[in-house]
Amino acid sequence: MGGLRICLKLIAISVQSQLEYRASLVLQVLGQFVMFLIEFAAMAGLFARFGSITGWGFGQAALLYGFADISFACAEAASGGFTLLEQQIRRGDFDRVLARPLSPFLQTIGQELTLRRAGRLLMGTCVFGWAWTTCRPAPTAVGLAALALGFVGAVAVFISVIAIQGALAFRTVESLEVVNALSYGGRAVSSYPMTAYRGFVRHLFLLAVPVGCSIYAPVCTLLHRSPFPGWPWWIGVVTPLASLPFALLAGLAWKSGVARYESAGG
Amino acid sequence: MNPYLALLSARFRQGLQYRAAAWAGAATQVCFGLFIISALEAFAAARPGAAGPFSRVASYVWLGQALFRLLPWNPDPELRDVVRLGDVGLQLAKPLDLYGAWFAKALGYRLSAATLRALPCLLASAVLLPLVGLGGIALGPPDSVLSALAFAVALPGAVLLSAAITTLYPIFYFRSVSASGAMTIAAAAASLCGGVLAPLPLLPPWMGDALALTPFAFVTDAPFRIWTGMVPPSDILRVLAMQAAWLAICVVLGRAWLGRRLLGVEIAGG
Repeated sequence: MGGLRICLKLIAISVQSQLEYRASLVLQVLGQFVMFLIEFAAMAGLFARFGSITGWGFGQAALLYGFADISFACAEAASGGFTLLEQQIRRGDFDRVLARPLSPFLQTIGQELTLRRAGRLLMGTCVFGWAWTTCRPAPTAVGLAALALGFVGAVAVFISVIAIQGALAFRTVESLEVVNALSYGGRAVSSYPMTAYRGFVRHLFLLAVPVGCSIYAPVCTLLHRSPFPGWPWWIGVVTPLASLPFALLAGLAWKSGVARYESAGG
Repeated sequence: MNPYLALLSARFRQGLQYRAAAWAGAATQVCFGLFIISALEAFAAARPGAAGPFSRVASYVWLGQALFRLLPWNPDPELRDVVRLGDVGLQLAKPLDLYGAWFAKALGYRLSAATLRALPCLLASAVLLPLVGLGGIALGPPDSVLSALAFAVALPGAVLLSAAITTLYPIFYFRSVSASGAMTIAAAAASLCGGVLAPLPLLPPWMGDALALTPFAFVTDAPFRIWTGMVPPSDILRVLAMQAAWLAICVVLGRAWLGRRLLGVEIAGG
């Protein structure tokens, strides 16, 4: 428990240090907001041209897009520490982490809470709010529960992917970009209904990296529609559980990565 | 050797060092290509005929993924630091035209980054996909001999234009140290206008046609339209002329702007 308290203290320090450069932070948040606004414009354009995608209208798809962005922004902000790992390992700075009496995982999480991701969170919330007023879902208790569980599950999966990327940094610092296909790719893919994709894309993000189980299925439950032919509409309240084994896997990958660490530089 | 060519080739060869990173980047690009094409297929199915033959759309997306790093979405990190850290003072002391030197470096930077990613990505999308039975969404050959010839002109034009836009970015950094917020927006605008977020020909005409007039669209969108035959033969000359016009505008603007900035430059750092 003491470890967790120190981790929270570290996070507070990270937040404080980012607030020192307030003007720069505001510009970065604004920059991120506009960036995702532009991205959303591209999606809006496709809907303006084609009307719908596998039976989903723009409002319903925007619900997915907003939900995916909210969870990805939270995960990205929380796991900012893992993106600093590459440099830490290259410079041999990870030695110091190992010398301290606190788990390397908590120290890595604690070293940064990336505040500029608030721009994406804000944009995601706006899109989600707008979509909600457009398609007016009649939320049931099951639907809201699915949404809450889905949020936790999606954040867990995205943090796990980024943690795996961090764990890979112990083996190679050059090829990490390939994991972006799963993190950024997972976010991009879950902005559209999973039924839109060819089998291999769908299976990748339902079975291997179960982000679809936590974003697509819960939103289906909220909208009272079946995610795949033959599936019950309420399944989205169960599927977020798929993120549990994935998170455990990421934990194992992290442990084995740390165990392999060899100091470079000094 | 001409000093500008030397700068270009040095930056190019330096960029070629990061080969493992480029393989990883190309693999990422192939995955994104598959995701995007898969989603666009579903869109096209919603309104049959609106997208035109889908093999053209697939080729457009693959060219965009292969030449992703040609998109002028960031400044050359080296040039950015030259301004930020004050090394520009040192560079001014050299008997070189500063704009020319920066342009040469930006060209080398873009060229190396694009080449490294393009080759594995082209190989995967044009050769590998048909082998695993995904020929329908593979990168196809140019539409005609004329398209191929026009593409051979448009691509070098796109590389030069991309370098000219890239050379404008470090000039931003004279004005403000926290230009990163502005660069984030520029990056997103470049991806939208360049047709990387969604192919411009698939957007509603009022939107796609307007975006196609921006300089970014002549780096990544126009050459792909030429390759896939989306530009009718009678329009090819007009497109190439507009690309040349944007190149001229960016170079003249960059030169004038840099010259004015240097009149009042204050060196930070020491």
